[in-house]
Amino acid sequence: MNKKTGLFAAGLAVAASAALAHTGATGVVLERMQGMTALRDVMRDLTPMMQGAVPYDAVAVSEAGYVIASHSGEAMQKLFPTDSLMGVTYAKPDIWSDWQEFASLSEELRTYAEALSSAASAGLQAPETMPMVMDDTAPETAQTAPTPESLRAQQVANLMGFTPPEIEVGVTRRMSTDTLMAQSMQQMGGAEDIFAQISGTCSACHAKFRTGRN
Amino acid sequence: MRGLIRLAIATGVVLGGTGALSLHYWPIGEDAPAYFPKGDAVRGAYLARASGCVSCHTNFEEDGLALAGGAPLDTPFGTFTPPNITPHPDAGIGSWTIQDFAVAVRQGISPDGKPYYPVFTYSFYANFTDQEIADLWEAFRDVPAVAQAAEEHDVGFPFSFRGGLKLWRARYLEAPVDDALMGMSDSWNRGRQLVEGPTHCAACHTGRNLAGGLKASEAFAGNDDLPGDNSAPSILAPDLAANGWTIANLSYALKLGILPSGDAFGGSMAEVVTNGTSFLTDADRTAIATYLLDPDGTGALPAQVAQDAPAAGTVDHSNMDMSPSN
Repeated sequence: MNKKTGLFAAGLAVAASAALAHTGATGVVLERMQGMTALRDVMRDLTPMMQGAVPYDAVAVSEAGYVIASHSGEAMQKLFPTDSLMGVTYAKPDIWSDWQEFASLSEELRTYAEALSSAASAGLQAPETMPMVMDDTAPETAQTAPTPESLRAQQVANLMGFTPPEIEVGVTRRMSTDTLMAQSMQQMGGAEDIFAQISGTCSACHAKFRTGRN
Repeated sequence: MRGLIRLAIATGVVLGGTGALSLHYWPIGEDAPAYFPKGDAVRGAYLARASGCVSCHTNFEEDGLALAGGAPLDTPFGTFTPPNITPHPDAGIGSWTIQDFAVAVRQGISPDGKPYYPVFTYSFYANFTDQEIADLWEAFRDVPAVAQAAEEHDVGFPFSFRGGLKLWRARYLEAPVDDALMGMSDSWNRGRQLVEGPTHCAACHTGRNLAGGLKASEAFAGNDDLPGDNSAPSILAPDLAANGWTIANLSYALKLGILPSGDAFGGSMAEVVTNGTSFLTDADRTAIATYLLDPDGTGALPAQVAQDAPAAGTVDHSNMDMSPSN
């Protein structure tokens, strides 16, 4: 009995603190805020591990990937029914005027989160030699070591934000999201890279679709 | 009575006209050196990234071409569109000399002698060395030329009268104080250089007065009135410490955009990270954090920070530095 009461009280406390944190939010708005809070907490817990400040825990990373995936993609989109801006919300109306972008960011998050789960066991950084696909034609670029000049040209291009003309494959921007994702997935593999993509996706979405905060 | 008013108006017009004329002819700036050292494009590109040239002059929102003109900035003074600074001879800066470039970047004056609006953060670049100017110049010349000029600024009177900016310059223009402090670490001194100069944190994190000048007394105390309804929080050391920032997590946030709570930056700071600080080396990001948590150079971090700073800031991620993925 006592135990039950205790549990109930704890439940109330949790509910109360959630309500307090999002004062004024109700219904689907509150629900999505809780989803975002869950994402935030997972990211908070992963960060020290990704930084190398605490030992890497493959199981925890893999689970974190599942949690993120469970709050993204369609699950996230469902929590943003058309024009749901009632009460206290940080959502911008642009979500619905640019739904395709919002939806694709949420899908991107899911894809990266699933990739994090699968790559978790490989460790923080991708192993040195790990061709994702055993393909004789692919590693050609890897074997031809870039000359210092072309490497420098590539660095300049990357920093200045353009594509060097002589490098065709792999770095072309403005491709379809799918192609881009498939390519970037091949290029990475370590949990840290994927984690960077996840946080980048969060930031990109917040910058476009969240109001009132940095 | 009518005569009096007329006289007053006439006097005003004459005085105003004389003032405007003298402002127009008031010479500003100094000549750039005739000779510059040989530049290094990679170093220049790194500096261009760190200084925000790339993020401001490229319209990422519209998938614009590199440095061909940035997203318009709505300010109380009008709408400013960062120009095309690719090496196109007509639409960009292709017809400039390195001397023109040096005067534009360090002094904020165009090749035809007009002062630039301070929305171009040239005051932070005033201490760039001749070598740095040469490096930047080399990097800019590598950028593919784009033939389309950016939109003109949309600025109403009186701000459209550029002569007035000379008054602004006389009152507010100051070179950054970024000289090395004896007794402080190399990292702190590097951080000071970056923060006070190229990365121009104060441009957003320091409040501005009605004339758009930075309020020295409110350095780094935050600004709620940024273009596009953005705001920048205080980055004063005690405030950073109170919000859970440490050297390690602050430098990591500049890389990946994650706050101590696990939240991800949105707003203009998301862009700063994505298009700017994520391209810096870990050492430079750590330097920025080191300086911001002790800008007075006391040699001690705010109390809250000292206890929990993990060593992660020193972990070697150098193989990740130039990753285009973030």
